[in-house]
Amino acid sequence: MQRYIARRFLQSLLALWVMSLVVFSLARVTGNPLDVMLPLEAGPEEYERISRHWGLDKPLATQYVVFLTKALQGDFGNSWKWHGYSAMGLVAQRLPATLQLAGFALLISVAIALPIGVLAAVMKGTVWDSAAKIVALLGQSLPGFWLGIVLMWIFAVHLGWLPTSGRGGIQYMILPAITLGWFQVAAVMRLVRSSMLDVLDSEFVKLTRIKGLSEWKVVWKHCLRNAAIAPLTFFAIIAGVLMTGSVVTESVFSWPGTGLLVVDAVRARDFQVVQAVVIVFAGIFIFTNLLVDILYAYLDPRIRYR
Amino acid sequence: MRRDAWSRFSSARLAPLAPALLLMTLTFTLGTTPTTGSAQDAKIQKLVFASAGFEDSNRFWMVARPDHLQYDPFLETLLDVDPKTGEYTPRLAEKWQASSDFKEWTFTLRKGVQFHYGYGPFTAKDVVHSHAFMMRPETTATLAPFWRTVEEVKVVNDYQIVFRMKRPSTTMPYAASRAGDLRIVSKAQWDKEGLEGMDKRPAGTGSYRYLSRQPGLSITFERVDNHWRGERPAFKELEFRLAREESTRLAMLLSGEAHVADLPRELQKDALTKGMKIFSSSFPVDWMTVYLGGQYYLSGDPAFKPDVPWTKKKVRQALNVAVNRKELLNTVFAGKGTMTYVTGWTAQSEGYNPEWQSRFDQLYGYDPAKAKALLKEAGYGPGQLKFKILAFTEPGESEGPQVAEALGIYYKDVGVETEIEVLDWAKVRDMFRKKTIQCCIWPNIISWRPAEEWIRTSYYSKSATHHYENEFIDKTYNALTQAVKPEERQRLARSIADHLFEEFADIPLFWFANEVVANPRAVSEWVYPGLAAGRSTHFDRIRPPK
Repeated sequence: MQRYIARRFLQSLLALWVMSLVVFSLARVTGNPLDVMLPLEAGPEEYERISRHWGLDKPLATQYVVFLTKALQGDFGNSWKWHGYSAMGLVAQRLPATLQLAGFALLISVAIALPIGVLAAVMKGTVWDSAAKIVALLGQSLPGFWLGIVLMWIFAVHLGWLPTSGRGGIQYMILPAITLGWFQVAAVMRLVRSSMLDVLDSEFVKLTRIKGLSEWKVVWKHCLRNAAIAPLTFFAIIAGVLMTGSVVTESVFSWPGTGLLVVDAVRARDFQVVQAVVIVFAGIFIFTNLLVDILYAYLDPRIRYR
Repeated sequence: MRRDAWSRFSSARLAPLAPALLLMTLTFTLGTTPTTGSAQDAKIQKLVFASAGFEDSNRFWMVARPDHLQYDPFLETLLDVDPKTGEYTPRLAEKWQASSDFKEWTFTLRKGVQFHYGYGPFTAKDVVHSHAFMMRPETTATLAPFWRTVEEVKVVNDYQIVFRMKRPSTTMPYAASRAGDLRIVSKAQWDKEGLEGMDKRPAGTGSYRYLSRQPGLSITFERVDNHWRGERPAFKELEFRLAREESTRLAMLLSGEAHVADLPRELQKDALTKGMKIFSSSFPVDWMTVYLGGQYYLSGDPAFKPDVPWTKKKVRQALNVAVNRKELLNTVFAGKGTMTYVTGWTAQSEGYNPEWQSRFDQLYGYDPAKAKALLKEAGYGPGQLKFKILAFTEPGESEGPQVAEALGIYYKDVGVETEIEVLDWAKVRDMFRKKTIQCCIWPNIISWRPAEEWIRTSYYSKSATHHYENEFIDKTYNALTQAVKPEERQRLARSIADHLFEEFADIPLFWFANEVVANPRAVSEWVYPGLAAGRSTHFDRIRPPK
């Protein structure tokens, strides 16, 4: 077991290193940050001076070694766009907002998808089932930015019930969370529906009915509990997707999370912040995967010896 | 059995009504006029400006001129820009004067001005301190190259200071004014708190003082009740709220969350139909021109490729007369703009020639037949001339790709084939900076500068832009930088501009004023020049309705 964990840990470190190489290279392929940051007036002397100041005049290999050495100590350098802020400090400042939004979006998607999924399964072949399918279709096909703007227009501009953008109380979270979670509603709903259909036809359900339990109890207590395993496994994936997929939603609603941060950083070619955000997210993903692998190995001994 | 249990929920007969109900709700909500929320409040305490965003930082020496909007309320400059006339007027400096050779500029500073938060009086040492930021190695301010030509900042006494320049300088009033980027900050604060204090809560002398900043999100200011000039803004607080999405800014304005918003022209009409009002700058601020890559006519320049079609003057004229400017202005820019005769020159610019206007139609006027004939004379029959049009967008300037599309249509009409490529601005800039853009033409919006600055930036071969360069421009520009007599400067600047006009150096299109959209319940009057750094400025002059 320990050898397995050690091997997986080393693999994770390797993955993280590869990710650092990829993000470092890709950021530089997009162009010279000075072409965004320097005014049109800047002549060759300004380009040279600023390049020297930021170490951009050094060979790429040297720049990478400097970046990696500092990153290993948790230092991703200072932001080039938000002067006076460290890249990691900005990520740490914005991460709670993204986690909050992703958590709320997950909650909303479950709260909507679960009953609709159950309803669609229980009422298979009816109008409600068809309606649920339409919800799934719309959820998977409506672009997030469009949905966000439409929701904003209806609930914030016309009805005035909710704020258009920004972060504050729970009212600020509703529209972005629905926008972010809507795609997942469709996925979870379909998963719940198919799992429920499997369970509804199983022998133990027939037994509960023969025993005279109410249909409410049969469906919500016995069937849903058994059908929830598959969607629950999916939640881990959804949580990750919601966190990283918040870029569009955060931009539309000016939600001060890491998604908005990375959009601004990419626009400004702020390599330091882009690198910090990507490495942090990659780290979270890799670490979560490592934990899941260890958990699987703990639960299923066959995995350790593969 | 399952159906029985769910019968109270199912109501299958009602189900078909669901879409109709949804449709009714949507129709109702979208059909009604939105309320303007807090804008209806009897007295607005905090004015919220929804901005497209800028490089937000308290370190003014690292921020380009257009992003100086964030300093305008609280960090002042030595000179002001009159909102109606555009002239330079006294501000923190009461008087200013150049030496006869324009190598020394003397400023007499105002007495009795106090920095915010009790950092003491404004004196000459604050000017020296503020200028020192422009000399730091990391400085990226727009006018950093200018400020680096200052040889010495000499303190005569607490209220008199002299800038000694390395070469004659006539653009000092511009650089030291609200249109420039030398913001005056407190030396006393620096001595006490250093850079940390600047980042946390910089002290200025404006009629608003800095309260707080959330990087990338918002900046808040608070009114100063005893401003030295007696400026008294109508609103107790001012907040710039950054929203990248245009639709979000419009929604903020219409819902009453913001009172002022910068909106692209295409969304302005939506705001107008909902009762909003546009406030334009007193002067045109930005121009749009189509630049032609590869015009490197200095002898021996390896980047010059003689096979680039527009190295022939007839092709350049053909590409100009093929464009229907009036139609383009009306369709893409809703008619909001005025003609540019020579790129970068307005009637107020040094060297402006009124004859351009009268000759423009004859030389540049829309004439597809003439375009075809010119192309034929240059050796390009129908379908023989092919090139790329590069398009890119910047926040708040979304028309680039539309203009590129329109150009493609106009050129097709005269037998020219084009391919539109949408690129990132940085990529385009990298290409023209490295002189590898011979393949392409590109429309771009650039903001106003004094003529000398514009010539240096755009046409002088030692700059990094390389729009159009040759021996004549280099020689004349060098003479201009040494000239101090107004009439001599006029002559030199005009000869460069005339040359660009006669040579069809590019495809000049339009000048645009700066426009912001505001809720008339919050703003009834706002006069601002547009020429000041940050474009939307003079927040103390915003007046609410009575």
